[in-house]
Amino acid sequence: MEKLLKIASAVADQAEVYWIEQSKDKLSFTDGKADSADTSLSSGIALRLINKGKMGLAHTCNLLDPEKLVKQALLATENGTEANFELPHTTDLPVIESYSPEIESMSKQDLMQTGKELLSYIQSRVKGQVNLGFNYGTASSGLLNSKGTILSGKYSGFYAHAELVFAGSGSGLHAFKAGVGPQKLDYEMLDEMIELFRIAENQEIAPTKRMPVIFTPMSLHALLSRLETAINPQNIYNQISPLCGRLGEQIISNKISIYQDPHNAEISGASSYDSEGTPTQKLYFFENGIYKAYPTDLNYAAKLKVKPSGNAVRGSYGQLPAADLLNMMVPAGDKTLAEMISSIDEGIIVQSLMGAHSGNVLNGDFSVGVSTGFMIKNGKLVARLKDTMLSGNVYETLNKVVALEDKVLKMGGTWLPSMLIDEVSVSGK
Amino acid sequence: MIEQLKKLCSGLDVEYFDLRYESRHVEKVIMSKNEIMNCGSDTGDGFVLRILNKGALASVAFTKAEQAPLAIKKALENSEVLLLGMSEKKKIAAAPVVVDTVKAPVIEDPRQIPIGDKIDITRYYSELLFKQPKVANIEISYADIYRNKFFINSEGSELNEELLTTRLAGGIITQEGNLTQTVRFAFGGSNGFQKLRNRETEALEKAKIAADLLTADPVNAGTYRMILNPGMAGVFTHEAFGHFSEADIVRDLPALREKMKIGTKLGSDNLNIIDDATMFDQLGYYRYDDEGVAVRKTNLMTEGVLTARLHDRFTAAEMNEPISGHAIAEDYRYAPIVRMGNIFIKPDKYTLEELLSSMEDGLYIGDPMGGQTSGENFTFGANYGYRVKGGKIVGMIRDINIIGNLYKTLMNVWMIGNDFVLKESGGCGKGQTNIRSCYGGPHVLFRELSVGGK
Repeated sequence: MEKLLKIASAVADQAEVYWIEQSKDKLSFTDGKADSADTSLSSGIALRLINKGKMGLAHTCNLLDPEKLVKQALLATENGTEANFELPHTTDLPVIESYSPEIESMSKQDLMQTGKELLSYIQSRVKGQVNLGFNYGTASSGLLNSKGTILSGKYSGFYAHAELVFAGSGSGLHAFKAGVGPQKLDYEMLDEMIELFRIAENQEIAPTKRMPVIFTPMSLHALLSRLETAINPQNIYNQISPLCGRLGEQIISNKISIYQDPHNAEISGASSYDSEGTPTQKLYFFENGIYKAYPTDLNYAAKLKVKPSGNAVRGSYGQLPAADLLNMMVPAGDKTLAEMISSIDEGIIVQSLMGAHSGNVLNGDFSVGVSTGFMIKNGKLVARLKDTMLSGNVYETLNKVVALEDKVLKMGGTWLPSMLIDEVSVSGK
Repeated sequence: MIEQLKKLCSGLDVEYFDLRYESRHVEKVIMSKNEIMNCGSDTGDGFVLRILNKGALASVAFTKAEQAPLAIKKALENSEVLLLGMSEKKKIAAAPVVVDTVKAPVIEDPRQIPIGDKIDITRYYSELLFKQPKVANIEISYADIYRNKFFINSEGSELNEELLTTRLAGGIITQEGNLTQTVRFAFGGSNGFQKLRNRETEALEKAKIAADLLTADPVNAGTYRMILNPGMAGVFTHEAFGHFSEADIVRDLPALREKMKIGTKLGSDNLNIIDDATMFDQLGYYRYDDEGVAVRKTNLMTEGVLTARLHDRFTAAEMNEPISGHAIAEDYRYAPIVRMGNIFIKPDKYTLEELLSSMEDGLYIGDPMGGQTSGENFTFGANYGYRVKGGKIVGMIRDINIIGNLYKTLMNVWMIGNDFVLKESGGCGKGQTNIRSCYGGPHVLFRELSVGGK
């Protein structure tokens, strides 16, 4: 790695080496039977060069020939993106360990046993198709650059998932847990899923009108992803975001704050530096509904003439870093889910949506089908929804927030509460 | 390479194994606002080992040849774990042993074209579209993806097949005040760079649609008679029906098995659905799948009756149905899963005018924009559409999301057009991304479909 950086630094104005070694394991059960146990071992090295104001990247799985990689990267700079920024010199950062050594020594035999126990717990209480899955892995990665930055870290993650599939369909109810170390699906979560599954035996089409809707954490992303697109610095730079030039304005309900906290070691992938080596920060994008900040990498920070926020993310080692939220958190509110449900005379609660990526996302429009959701009447869940759609525009919808749940669901790096929103346009067929 | 693969597996003693090695080279140009965002090439390679041990199938992906002994050890461990929780042993369907080499069927080979020319053509379309009325941005990307795949199995098959995909795709973003609209376009395919040339007329048509959308009316929610254009009809065929033709999905959803029994009448009498990856010239072309099975044309639905489905060797054995050659992996990082190759509704005899006049009043829906299925229910976004009154197109509509139920919709097929258009750029996500997943078809008139709205 050091040798590669040395060769590269000699021929280019600036150089950066990023490397990653990963190991992933999976065990899954479909319809109550173990059906796959797989392993994936991978590694990658990416070399990014900046030369004569242009940027180029080359990468490989096996560093057999460092000179060749340097040549490829240099060639890529010739037609590369304009890059008018300096790589950072980063030292003395606090160590944040988003890593649990227990993942390293996990036994698939033990997980098989856990899986069988969960299956028999669910199957003894309800008749239906049960799927289960365990995914876990570890990664080491690091970053070196020609400014003298040398950083490295270890990460781990574990994801446990159970699903009860509705008869005659592919949709169903989910229970899952994700975190840095091993996770257990607790019986309370399973009981909740089983109870909903029983209610789901009744099906109903929602009436077509505006009504209160509870978005659970798993369905909330359909709304929040539109804000994520709006604060993407590329859309801001290109002046096609509806939030251009509106920093400091009240955009959504003052009940909602959206922030990232990469220094919280409980967050999967937490790190004190981003994938370009810029120090990361706890950052509010929306605070009490006021638009406070957008994420930037080095490139877009330079273009927009702001200080980089440390939000460069690499989709994979073969991709150039790009700005994104490091993780997404919405602080909890003050109502229990039960209180929210009992406050509704006629409304719905949605667990999962389909078509969340379709429609005019940049504009904030959404028009989504409910794949798993329930009708609420007189404060009680009465039936599973079928043939029901929700639509609207997030800049209107997120201004009609009535309450947030008093706890958040921790989904790896995404921590969200349920949200009760009034006057959402619901249409039943 | 074949010899090296054999060496890596020597001494492996199980019921069945296969080992794939693949290198993938990508050259790409990405532009936004007429400016290069990313340009260059990259290469990746790796191995995937699958073993069938005492009836348990396990796979390990790895990137370095020296990891092969570790991969074999992990695969054996994985299979032993599976044996603790399986109820039925997996069997592998018989397939011919093949030794073959298949070169990419290319007319104008993108590997022979200098990167400068690729930048030029990307810039050419970008600048052409950027000049059009109301255009705020053009996001455009060029890519050619060359995969060189080597495959051996314990039965003696030895294969080498090349796949070469070329595409130029992008989004035209128009803006007026706070309102933005995006229309996508894509040119390309499996047989070379020539597919990107001389496509200005089609590109400009898309720019006009993007500008017109700024003043189009949002559609009113409701149930309508509806004509889907070939792109949208293709999405319906692929997303709503096609995935339920994939044997692994049917296997994993036992509740569906009853409904999707071969011989069941599911569609209207005029409806024939085919998967044909052997068609030359289309995006989804390949000869052998990633289990070394030659792909064959599969008649999935014949006159409304379910007649076949798509299989890998394991699902074919489990359901006791013929192998079809549809086990496809995204690349060297994955074991194959069942995928569609090139799925479409077989054209019938009607012109678009005949469909419009038969429909009288309803909606004519244009290109797809995202979609998702959840069991038998689907939601598909459409980029644009038109209101039709008395068989005439009267006005443009936007913000269209079609929602429906697969089984009802298959029965609601009313008339099928005589035209045939296949899509030129793919991206089906089913755990893995298949960039060559191809679909399309003719214009199709439905008796009833619903759109959501505000």
